[in-house]
Amino acid sequence: MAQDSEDRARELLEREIPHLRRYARSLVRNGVDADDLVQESLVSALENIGSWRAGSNMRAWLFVILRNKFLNTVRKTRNESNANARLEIAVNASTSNSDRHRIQTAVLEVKQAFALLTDEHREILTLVAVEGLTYEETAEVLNVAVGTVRSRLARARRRLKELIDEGREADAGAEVATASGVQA
Amino acid sequence: MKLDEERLQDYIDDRLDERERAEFAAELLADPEAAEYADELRLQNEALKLVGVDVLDEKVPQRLTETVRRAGRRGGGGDEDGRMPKRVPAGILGGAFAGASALVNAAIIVAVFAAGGALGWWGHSQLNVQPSPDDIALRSGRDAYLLYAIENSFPVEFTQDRASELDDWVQRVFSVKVSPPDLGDYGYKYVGGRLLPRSDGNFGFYLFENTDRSRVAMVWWPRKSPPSAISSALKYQGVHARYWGSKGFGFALYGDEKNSEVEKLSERAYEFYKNLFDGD
Repeated sequence: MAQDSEDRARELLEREIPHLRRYARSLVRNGVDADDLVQESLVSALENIGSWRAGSNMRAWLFVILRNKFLNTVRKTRNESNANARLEIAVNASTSNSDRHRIQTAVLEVKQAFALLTDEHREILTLVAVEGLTYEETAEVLNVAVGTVRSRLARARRRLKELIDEGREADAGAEVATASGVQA
Repeated sequence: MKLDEERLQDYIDDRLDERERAEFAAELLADPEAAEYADELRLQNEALKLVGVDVLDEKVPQRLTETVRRAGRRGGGGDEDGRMPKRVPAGILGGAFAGASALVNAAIIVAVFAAGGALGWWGHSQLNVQPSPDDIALRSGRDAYLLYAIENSFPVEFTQDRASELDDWVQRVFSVKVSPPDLGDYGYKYVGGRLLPRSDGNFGFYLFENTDRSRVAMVWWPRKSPPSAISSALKYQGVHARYWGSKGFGFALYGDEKNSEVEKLSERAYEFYKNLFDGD
């Protein structure tokens, strides 16, 4: 790769750091571990900058590298992170959201339910809905067929809706129980 | 009606073309339950875009930016102190900032903010990564050089009397007609336009001026995200930008922060491009 092209590629790479951090955080949860993962990925990307095709999606290329690093080195932290997320959700569920604006409520509901998804579902939604990758780019990052992306995405969205609906039922139940307590 | 799952996902992710979307929307109209389900999934999808947005707002740890910049200094043939190599001829920057037309200078300023757009500051109050002014100028200058020196079929600028040539060229490059909006009702006359360089894809620029010599700029670029309503994306260093998305393109109107007409002008431009692209 010519030097000027390499400089441009590095510049594009630096601009993607916030998105790399967000993707890493979705995989690893712990902020410091996530930044470690990003740094390792940056080093690997810079060593192989010549293999990036100018004009292709730099973000998707970086996500492939980061995901491979994640699969190789940090999978063991996930179980602990999931348990912490569930505890956080249980605490938040005891607080009524009835005073919040409808859109803010929707965002909060989605964020809470998102944390409860399986890793596979969370990852597919992160890549397509959060980071805006196409199905084809997502297939490349995950090393699966486009058809697999489609079916995984459909299942993830369905599951997200189920979790949100369950959360709403739990909130409604809590409000009824509180009202009964006040009347008694 | 049992929804076609594949088409539903395509609908949510804006992968349907205009005809397919209209057909799908008509099917949803005939089935309120399916329509409600599809709307809920779309709302969830919009909310998902905010997941982790706080991470994008965080200051990037220095060790991460240094990892990239150190590699640049090592590989770029810089001197012992790691200063940028002298590959960008000084004449390019001198030409861009001194002795050039007002249109060129305005274009360079917009290119600086567009570089910020590529960094992901839309909707956020400040840049996540903070390059120095020299870095921004050097990178913008280099992008300008690469566009005009290498892509030598492009003229540097099109004045108002050559507006139709710019339209033809845009049609050829982007396969779609994009024209300047008519802001005459608000006293703003079209001055001229050009294509502006950006490392990850060029964008269009139109300049307008009123009789008080007050100027606003209309900027547009190809994008894949769904259409979005107008929002005030940026008030930064005396510049106010209002931004929106139509089908296939993003738009921003820039004006002086003290110019109370920026809002009206952007709404006029919004309606113009909505009719052009979304057919409403």
